[in-house]
Amino acid sequence: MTKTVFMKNLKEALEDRDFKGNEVHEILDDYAMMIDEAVAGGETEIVFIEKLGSPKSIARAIYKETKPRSSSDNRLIAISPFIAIIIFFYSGFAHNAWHPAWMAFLIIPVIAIAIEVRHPLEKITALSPFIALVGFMILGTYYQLWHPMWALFLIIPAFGFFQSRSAILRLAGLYTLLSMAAFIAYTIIYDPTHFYAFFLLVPIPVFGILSGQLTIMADFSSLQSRVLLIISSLLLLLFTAVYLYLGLTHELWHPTWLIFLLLPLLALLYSQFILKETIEFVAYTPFIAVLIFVIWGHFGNAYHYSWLVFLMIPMTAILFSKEKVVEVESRKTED
Amino acid sequence: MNAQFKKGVLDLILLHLIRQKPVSAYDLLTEISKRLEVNENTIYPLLRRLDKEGYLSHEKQQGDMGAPKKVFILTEQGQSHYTKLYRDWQAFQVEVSSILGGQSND
Repeated sequence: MTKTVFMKNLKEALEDRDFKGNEVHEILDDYAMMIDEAVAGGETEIVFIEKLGSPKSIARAIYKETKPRSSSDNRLIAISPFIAIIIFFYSGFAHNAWHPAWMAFLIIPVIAIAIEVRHPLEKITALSPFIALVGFMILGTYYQLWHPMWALFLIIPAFGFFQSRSAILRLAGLYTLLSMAAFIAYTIIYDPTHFYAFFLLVPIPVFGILSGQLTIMADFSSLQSRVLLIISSLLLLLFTAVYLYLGLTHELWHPTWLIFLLLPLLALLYSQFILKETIEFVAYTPFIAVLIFVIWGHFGNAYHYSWLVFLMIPMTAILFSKEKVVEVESRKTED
Repeated sequence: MNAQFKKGVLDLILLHLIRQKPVSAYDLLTEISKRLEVNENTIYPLLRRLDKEGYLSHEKQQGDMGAPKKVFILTEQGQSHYTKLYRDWQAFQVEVSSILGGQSND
């Protein structure tokens, strides 16, 4: 990465973290001088910039160091699991609504995100998967609108587009939201088996590639990337076909939507085993937990027990956290 | 070295080095990374916090190689904070050494 690109990306990363104009200028000046000093000292610009880390990680580190969470925020995050448990058990025992009351557990990450992420647009983008899931589950469970409400998940890329600095991609975000609304309205008002409305959604993956949200899929630089592009596209088509087939023919919209959880799981496996990136096991656990929870809860009619599977997330974090391993290992060495 | 150890003492190390002479973030990064394995994006955020907290001030200087650089200077408040941290560190070292039977270098 050249200095110009680095400075541009750092500016964007700082603005995304809600740093004010003068702070952004000061930090950019500091980094520009640091790079010039390194180059004057004999280092290569590109190598030194690489050593500094990604602009996003720099902005995150400065943010964490200079804008720490307040103790009341920490308390709220710490108490959120108890709030979730109270809502879940009350809804379960008092109203026999174990499903969809299990969604109360989403309060835990939602509160953490709402506190951690300060920039309003970034916050709503980070919360969009939860908003979509809650809307999908409630409208699906109580009004049997699994189809076309699955389209609610399109708010995730829509807010992703809004985050872009390009006016065209922001328009793409607007198009995504409007086409989603039109698709839902058309399907509910007319006929859920009419597929004409699907054409409205066709441009969205193209916007995804243009915005860089589908970076891996748009990377044609090597044979491996091209193979990956074909495999992931085929998988997405296969999952969508299975989902639509089982939904339209057997009314199995729920829990067939679970099939889409395989995509992020496969992406994690790819990053870990093919790209050799460090992925902690805990990253897999939310997906595994949701899969087991819904399958056990739905087919075993046991939502009142299956929620226990979510405990695997914090348990895994405790057992496999790298820091703990280092501490244990250093203690062993000393012994 | 354990990351938590480092995080705890980096404030002290930075204040100590800046106390000796005004230095830039790059100088500090170079100096510290000669002896400790630190992530490059650790030092600047710490300097920025110490600056915001009033322990450091800064000014622009012409560097030896011609490029202008921002150097950090210890303020009076920074000096007292450094003295406190240094005493805490010494007391901590003594206590740890006594627990480990005076074999802290092993």
